[in-house]
Amino acid sequence: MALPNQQTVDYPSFKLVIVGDGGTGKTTFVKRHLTGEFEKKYEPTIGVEVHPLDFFTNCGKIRFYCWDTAGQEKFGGLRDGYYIHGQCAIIMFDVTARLTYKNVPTWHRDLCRVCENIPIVLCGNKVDVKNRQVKAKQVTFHRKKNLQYYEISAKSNYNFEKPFLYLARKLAGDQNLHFVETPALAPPEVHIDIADQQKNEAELLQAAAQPLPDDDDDIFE
Amino acid sequence: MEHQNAVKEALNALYHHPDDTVRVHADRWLQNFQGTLDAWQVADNLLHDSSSNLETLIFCSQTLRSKVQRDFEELPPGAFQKLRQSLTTLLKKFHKGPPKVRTQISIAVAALAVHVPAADWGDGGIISWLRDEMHMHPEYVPGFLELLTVLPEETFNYKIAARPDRRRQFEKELTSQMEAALSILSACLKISELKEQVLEAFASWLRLRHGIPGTVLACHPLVHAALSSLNCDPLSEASVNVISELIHHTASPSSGGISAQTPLIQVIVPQILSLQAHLRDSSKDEEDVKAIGRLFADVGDSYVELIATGSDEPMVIVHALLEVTAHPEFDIASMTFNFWHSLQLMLTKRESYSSLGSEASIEVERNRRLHIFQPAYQSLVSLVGFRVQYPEDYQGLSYEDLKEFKQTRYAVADVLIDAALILGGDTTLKILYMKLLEANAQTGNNFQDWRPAEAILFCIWAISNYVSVVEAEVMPQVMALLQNLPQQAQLLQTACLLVGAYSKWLNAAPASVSILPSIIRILMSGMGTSEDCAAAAALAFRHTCDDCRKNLCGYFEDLFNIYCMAINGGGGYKVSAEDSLNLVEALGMVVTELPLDQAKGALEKLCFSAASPLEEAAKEDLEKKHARELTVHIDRFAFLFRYVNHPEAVAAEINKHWAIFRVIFDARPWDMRTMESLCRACKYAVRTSGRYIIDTIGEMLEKIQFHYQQHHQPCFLYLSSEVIKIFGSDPSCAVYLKNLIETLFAHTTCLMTSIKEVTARPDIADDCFLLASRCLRYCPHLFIPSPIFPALVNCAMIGITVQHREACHSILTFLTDIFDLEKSVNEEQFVRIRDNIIIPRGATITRILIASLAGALPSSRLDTVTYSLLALTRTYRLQAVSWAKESVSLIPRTALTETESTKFLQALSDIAYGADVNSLIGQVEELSDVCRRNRTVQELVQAALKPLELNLVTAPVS
Repeated sequence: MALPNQQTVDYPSFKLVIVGDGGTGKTTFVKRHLTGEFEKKYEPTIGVEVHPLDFFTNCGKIRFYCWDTAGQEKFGGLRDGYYIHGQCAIIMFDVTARLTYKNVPTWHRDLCRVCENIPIVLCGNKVDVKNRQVKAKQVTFHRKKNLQYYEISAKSNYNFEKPFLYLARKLAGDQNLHFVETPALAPPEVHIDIADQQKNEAELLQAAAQPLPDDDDDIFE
Repeated sequence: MEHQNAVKEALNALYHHPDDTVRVHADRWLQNFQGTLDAWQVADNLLHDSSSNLETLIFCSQTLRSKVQRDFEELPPGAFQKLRQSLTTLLKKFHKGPPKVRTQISIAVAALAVHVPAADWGDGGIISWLRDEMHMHPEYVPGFLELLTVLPEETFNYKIAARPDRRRQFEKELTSQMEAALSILSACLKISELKEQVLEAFASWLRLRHGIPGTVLACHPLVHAALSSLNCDPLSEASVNVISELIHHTASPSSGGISAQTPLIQVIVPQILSLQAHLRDSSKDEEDVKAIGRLFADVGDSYVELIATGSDEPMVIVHALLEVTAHPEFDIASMTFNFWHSLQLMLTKRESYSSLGSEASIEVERNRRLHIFQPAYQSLVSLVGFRVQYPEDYQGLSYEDLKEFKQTRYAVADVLIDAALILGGDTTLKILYMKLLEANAQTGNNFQDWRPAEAILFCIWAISNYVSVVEAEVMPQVMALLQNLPQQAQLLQTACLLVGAYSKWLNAAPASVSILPSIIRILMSGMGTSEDCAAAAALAFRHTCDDCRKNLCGYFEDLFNIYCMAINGGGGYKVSAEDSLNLVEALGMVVTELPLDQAKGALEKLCFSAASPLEEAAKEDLEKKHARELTVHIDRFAFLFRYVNHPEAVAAEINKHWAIFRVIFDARPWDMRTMESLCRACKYAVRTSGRYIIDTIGEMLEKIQFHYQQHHQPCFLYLSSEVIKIFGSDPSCAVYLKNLIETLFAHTTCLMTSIKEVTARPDIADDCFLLASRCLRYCPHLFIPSPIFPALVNCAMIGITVQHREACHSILTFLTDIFDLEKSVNEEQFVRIRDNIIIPRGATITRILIASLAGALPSSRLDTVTYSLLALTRTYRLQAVSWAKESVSLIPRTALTETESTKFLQALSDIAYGADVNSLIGQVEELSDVCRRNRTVQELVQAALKPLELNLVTAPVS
């Protein structure tokens, strides 16, 4: 449906639009599935790249045509010109950069102006990075209708499938739909244990009550 | 016509062509097309052409919209009337849709209104015009209604290339027309099929946050329309949005605050609360339940201050929120967590009571309020507690579901902390302990089902910071209980976490010395159970050794045995290499507690165990090893040097083991990971031993100087930085430190002769300029007179516009530190040298900084750049202002008007006369906004200032 003339597959397919500020990890997220590799280099997407992503569900195979749009350039690309025919969307922000979350409402509005009433997933990426600026609690934008929130880490594969599963369920109108086969992901770049990380955060909270030792590796005074 | 066909073809290719390269080509072509002057006419023609298909219409409407938003300036004067006429015709043409095209046309009209002042628009400004048009052409109402919706939204749309001044003016134009707009909307309510659209428009106007009085809104037909739609099934999304905006409106300071809005609050809150019954209705649509949760959470979050006063009326809100918290769906329940947290803060924070004056009356009032809310927080403990229990089928959970479960537990832990702060930690502990006894009794005393007990232990862990260290009633029983737990991995893991969290209690307990051995035994059994469990045990071991070090330092040998087993993986221990660092740290802290002679022996043993695997490795081929095989051991050295606080002992050990360090330096200088690890160990050795390290330092510095020239590892710079901090002012080190920094900087300046090179190695740039800032502060006498100083200033000028955040920050900070030199070293000779270097470069530096503000760097970096400019201006005063004047005069007037540049220069000149930074920040933001308003302007400004071409400097000193 995304590319009507390119219906080379005989199973349901959907156009998925991925938007969000530059550098939030949209391309890395998609490529994680395609090649299984984690891209360390940052090369801003120019315009748009379209990638087909297949998933296997208990109701058969489905395909998302992911339109990975450029977030970086303020004046470049066709921007919402890519949203046409979009059936579902992912809005990405970076939990380590507050501004990218602040811009979420704008992305959401621009998207809804072209694609009405489509299911949307809000993804907070880079939860593997230590200095988070946007805490899970501060994320409240997804209380709006048809919006689901997931914390993800493209780097460590964390919650990679969740956004696709939510969208597939909404599109199929079947809450019990599930993926039957894990798509072959490359081994994660880092083994980030989110719980451990929070354990560390809990630790930090405890530490906050104690006098600070002069040992910060990164702070030069 | 030719253009029009080309657009159609390109669109067809972009959306439908199977070949990637064809699509990419079409994409590029369309992007270029949008930038041309022709695009105005072509898009307009295609929109008026009845044969255009939907894709063409959407694309052309988006193109025209973007043109109006960004490129309005490129139209000849007088084009406005024609454009407005054409857009109005289109808005009418598409009044029935397609909606997407209509939306884009509406946005275009709104953008036009942002650009064109009301007086020039004519017909009394856009709202009057709109009202008249709707009056004359009722058939086109849906299109105009959409325009009315997007108008307030576009007020804050940064994509519109309007100057800040004009934007503010537009906002005023709109708010002055608020009443007229709302009356148009009220009139539209009569058309029942437009109700959703009218409500969306209303929500949009409410977002302007203009203080409409509560009494007006309380009986406004639009508010009542929204409230009556709340009872629809399914819920009306527009009405939920309106109500949510109304709640925010009543709580916003611009609307006069809650007291001024009471009439409205009294109308909306009871209506919202009446939705409570739906929360229990399992047949209700999940999106509707979520919407209700959202409204309840909005009410709670917005009125928390009012609720916290403890008066009777708002208590219904608290009970309603408890109901949401009780909802089985965690996503719904957790919407209230922020409320419970803010309420806790309101109740406990001193500032909430500051109006009461005396300490005694504050205490009385606080207790009164706490007393009122304690029952609610008691219920909360029960409502959230059950969510942390492992599900029965936990073994079948996927990796990610398990992670999600853990996240849920941490969210619940935060709520329990809020409860503990209201109820008191000891009381909360007692509640939880009673639950533990109940659970244990129910499952037949021996933890046959471990899950309920584990859940409660987890809750007890969560509140550890709030339980008194002298708690004597419950904690001894909890600790006793831990010793009889079955060997169940999850249970034991939580038990270990709990031990670690209560290490301060363990230290303070009267029976501390007698309990500790049994506690250590629990941790040992944890280390042998599973990797997760071992991680928790290692962490707990560290806490226990840290807090109970006085009681434990007599047992060094026993602890050392445990340490050896954990480190070497003996005794079935499952501690990972990373977690084992907790044990290193633990032992380090115990050794710190020992008297020096014993500490020396203890540290010697610990260092020996870290060194021997490295020496073994050295006997084989060091170069072929995987970095990790070495860093595991080197990191242990780092932790020992960091946590054993005996300077003399640490100095002796680094000296003793220097031989193996040297071998590794020489074998793998190319390997960043190993070098980083090694430099970190050296850094802590330097930091802890201070001047005692003097015997080793010379050779250490020689090594990094030597290897930096070939392998330029940034960590060498960072280690040098530590050395400068400690030895910078020591006259006996002057010769070799001068040599060190000159070598390092000379080499770095050779590496960074263009912005391209700085961009390629931002890590080096970052560490180099951090080191340079340190040199300014700790050894100005070595650094400032050196020929390397001006070379480094040149290098900084080259790198200012680097996009890498940290590198850019370090460079700017270095320059700022130079301008601010008098703050750290006020010696005339240095100031004179500094002036001789900066003044000839002043005009260029200023120009690069202004170019950075005007678009060469991302706008998120404005603060840092502004601070450099501020420091420069404070030091060189009117001279700096004249440099700025020179740069600003290069910017064409079409980009920056005379008035705009005067305002900026005036703010700068005020700084020169001692004004504070705030006056400058506003003007910098305006300058930045104006110069970045669209691509044409931004390119024009950068082409005028040419920041990158200013970096032609003489060859660096080598």
